[in-house]
Amino acid sequence: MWTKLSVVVTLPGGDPPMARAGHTLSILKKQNGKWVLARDANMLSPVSKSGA
Amino acid sequence: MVQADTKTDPIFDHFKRQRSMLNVPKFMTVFLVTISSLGTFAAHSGTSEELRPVTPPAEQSEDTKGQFEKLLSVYQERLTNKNVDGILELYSTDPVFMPEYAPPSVGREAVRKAYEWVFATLNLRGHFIVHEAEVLGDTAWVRTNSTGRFTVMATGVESDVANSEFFLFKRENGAWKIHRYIFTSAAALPG
Repeated sequence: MWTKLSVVVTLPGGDPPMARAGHTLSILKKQNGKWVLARDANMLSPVSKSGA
Repeated sequence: MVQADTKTDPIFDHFKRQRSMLNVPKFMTVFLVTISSLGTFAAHSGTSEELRPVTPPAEQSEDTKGQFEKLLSVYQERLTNKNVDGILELYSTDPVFMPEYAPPSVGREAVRKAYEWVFATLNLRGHFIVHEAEVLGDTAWVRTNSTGRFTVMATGVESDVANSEFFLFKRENGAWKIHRYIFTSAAALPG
């Protein structure tokens, strides 16, 4: 599964949120009738303030 | 599944923009990867019949690993020799190449341009270590890491590189081809 993922991490204490975004490549397997994530490669990198 | 809206040319602008944000050695870790890994958690609850998979038996053996080690050894040699045509021979008919800090290259022409850009900019020497590989019918995945050195041609600056890679291979006409390829630097995030 190929996806694009964006994540914003906000820590307690009032520090500015950290934005990361990038693509992921994941392998899902079915275990006991449920899809589970077996391998997940991601390369989330910092998102500039301009959004580039 | 998200298929990014990717055109061929913007990759170059994007690379240039990223290079201005990062120092060059950091950027270069671009070329060769982090598999953040690998928890096993529920991603989908298996509620849908339409997702019922065809599940061929998985093969995960030393022989399986060995065949991909050989294949990636060929890839490594062609990287060192800047053999774009040879590298394209290793890719499937509709590949996606996902380097760090750049939009994915979708399709053979986009992949070609990405390698041409890299080879016009850098000399690479690296070595892949295959950690695991699994074959599922005509699909296989391979997890690796790589270490090596790169040289920025314009400046002569040389540095170490360390990456993690994840390959998805597809069997086409009996031969394994790189179908999806993602990598990230094993170095710390910039900034």
